[in-house]
Amino acid sequence: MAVGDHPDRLYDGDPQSLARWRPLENSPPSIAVWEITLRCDLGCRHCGSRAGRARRDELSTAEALDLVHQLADLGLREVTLIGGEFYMRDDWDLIAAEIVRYGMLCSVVTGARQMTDERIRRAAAAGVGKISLSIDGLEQTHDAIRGSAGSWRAAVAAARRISGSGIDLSVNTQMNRLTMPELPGVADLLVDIGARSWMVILTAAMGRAADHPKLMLQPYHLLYLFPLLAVIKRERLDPNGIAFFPGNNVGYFGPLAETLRYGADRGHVWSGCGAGVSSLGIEADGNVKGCPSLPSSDYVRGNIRERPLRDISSDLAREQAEAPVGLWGFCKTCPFAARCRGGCTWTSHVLFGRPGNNPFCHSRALALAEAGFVEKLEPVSAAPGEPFDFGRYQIVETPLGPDLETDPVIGLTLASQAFGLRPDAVGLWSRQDLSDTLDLAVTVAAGGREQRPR
Amino acid sequence: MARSVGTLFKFVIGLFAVLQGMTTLSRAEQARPEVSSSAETLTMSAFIGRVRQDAVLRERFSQNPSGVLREYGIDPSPYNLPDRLTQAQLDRLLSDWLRGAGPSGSPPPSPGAAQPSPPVVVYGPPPGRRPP
Repeated sequence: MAVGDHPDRLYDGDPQSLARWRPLENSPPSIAVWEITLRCDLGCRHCGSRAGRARRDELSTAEALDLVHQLADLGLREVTLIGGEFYMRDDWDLIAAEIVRYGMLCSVVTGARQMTDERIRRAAAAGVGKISLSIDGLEQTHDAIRGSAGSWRAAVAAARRISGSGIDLSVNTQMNRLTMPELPGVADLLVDIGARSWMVILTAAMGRAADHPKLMLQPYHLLYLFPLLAVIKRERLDPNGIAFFPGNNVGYFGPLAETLRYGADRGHVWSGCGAGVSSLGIEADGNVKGCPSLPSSDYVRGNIRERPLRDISSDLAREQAEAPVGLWGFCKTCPFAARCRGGCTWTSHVLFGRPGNNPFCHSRALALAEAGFVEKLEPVSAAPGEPFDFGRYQIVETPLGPDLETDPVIGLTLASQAFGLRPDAVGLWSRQDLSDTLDLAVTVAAGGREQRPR
Repeated sequence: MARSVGTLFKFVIGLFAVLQGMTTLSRAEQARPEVSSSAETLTMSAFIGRVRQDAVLRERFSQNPSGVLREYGIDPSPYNLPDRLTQAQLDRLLSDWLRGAGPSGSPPPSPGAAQPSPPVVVYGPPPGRRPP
């Protein structure tokens, strides 16, 4: 199929044509990410929704199909089905086919533990355009993070089947302490399995990830992560025609922004959180928020069982326009504040209970390093244990010193980037490292107060 | 007389330089037994820090990367290590990434300049399918 057949739908390398692109003013959101069930066959340690069992009152097939019609009526261009695990719901392909029948792109995101040939055939028959599966590092790391031995092999086998099926294969990778040094190996794997795009996202402190603070990167790791991503894109992805999509919490305005984001050289830079404006997030019981990652407790603005989707969407867009993010801390003083608006709402909210100050920012880390400081995050209180919940963190500034060089993440990252990883490598971390990082109990620092950086 | 004094001065300076070099070498040599001690185990980060500071170790590492890593208790098997490191590999390993520009201080090329092959189409129904 040529791009020209559906110039409004297909990505032809021009970032402005991306379905995900921020819509024009007063336009509806372009993409909805829809958790069709919370049931899951994996137990991922970083899972923000703590997926496993289905929600108590998930939408029926009739309600789901009606929601598809409302999404189309609203003018959505793409609907991404996620879980939990999307295929744990029996009628997933009915929903997918209806999305396509109503003229929207349908993509699915999967952990691919049981993404069988039959399910791939059903996806193709339903018209699913893209399958994004998760690969989080090399085999041992992926299996440890995903909580399931054999999950990496299952995902890779599924990836090969998908790329041979004609459906676009994309890969999603969580970037955290364990996966960061292994990213060059994942990039090599993308070439091998025939992936057409790669989305990377920083693991944020939500849900089960909040229970494992050591799994998260520290803000100063971005000083090494961004150059690594730039090199991977230049040396591994671009030559193989693999599109690179940094997630919304990978930013902002640093010296490598143009390299990493398509169109940044033409001014198409990050322009603030698009929750409710360019995107919608829908939970399996019909709750609607502006972005699927946002904490439910603070950001659900209605349920489609109670109000039409159009009304909820209007409220979300109005909220974004009329109640801009209150910036604080470093972000308030940043020269890019007006355009950036504190970066990813989700990432900062799950750290501090409110958005507007985001320490996961490359330009911020560089500015502080230039002044001789780095920021570290310390847990203050634990998450209660609900889907999409979060705890609290505080920022601690410390002098930029030699201790940075002793950080194991940095050393392994430098080595893997300098030498590359062998195709048969199964992991850079020892089993003890994996266990220490993932089984760590949350430490509550009594009486800790958030330090507000300059 | 003046020439003799000058010659003597040069001799002293030269002797000092030689001794200084020997001292430096001697220090490096003194460090080597520790370095080569199989009892010493370093993390990769600590090893990189050591390589930054120790020219002798750096040279040994570039000549035999797998062997030297093993000496320090680091498993070389996951890495795609050649028999001998190139200068570019060593520079990349030891470069100061805090500047944010990338390895070896060389900024990645601007996206506008000499773009490699553009990304392929990543959206769309499977070939042969056309939405109604």
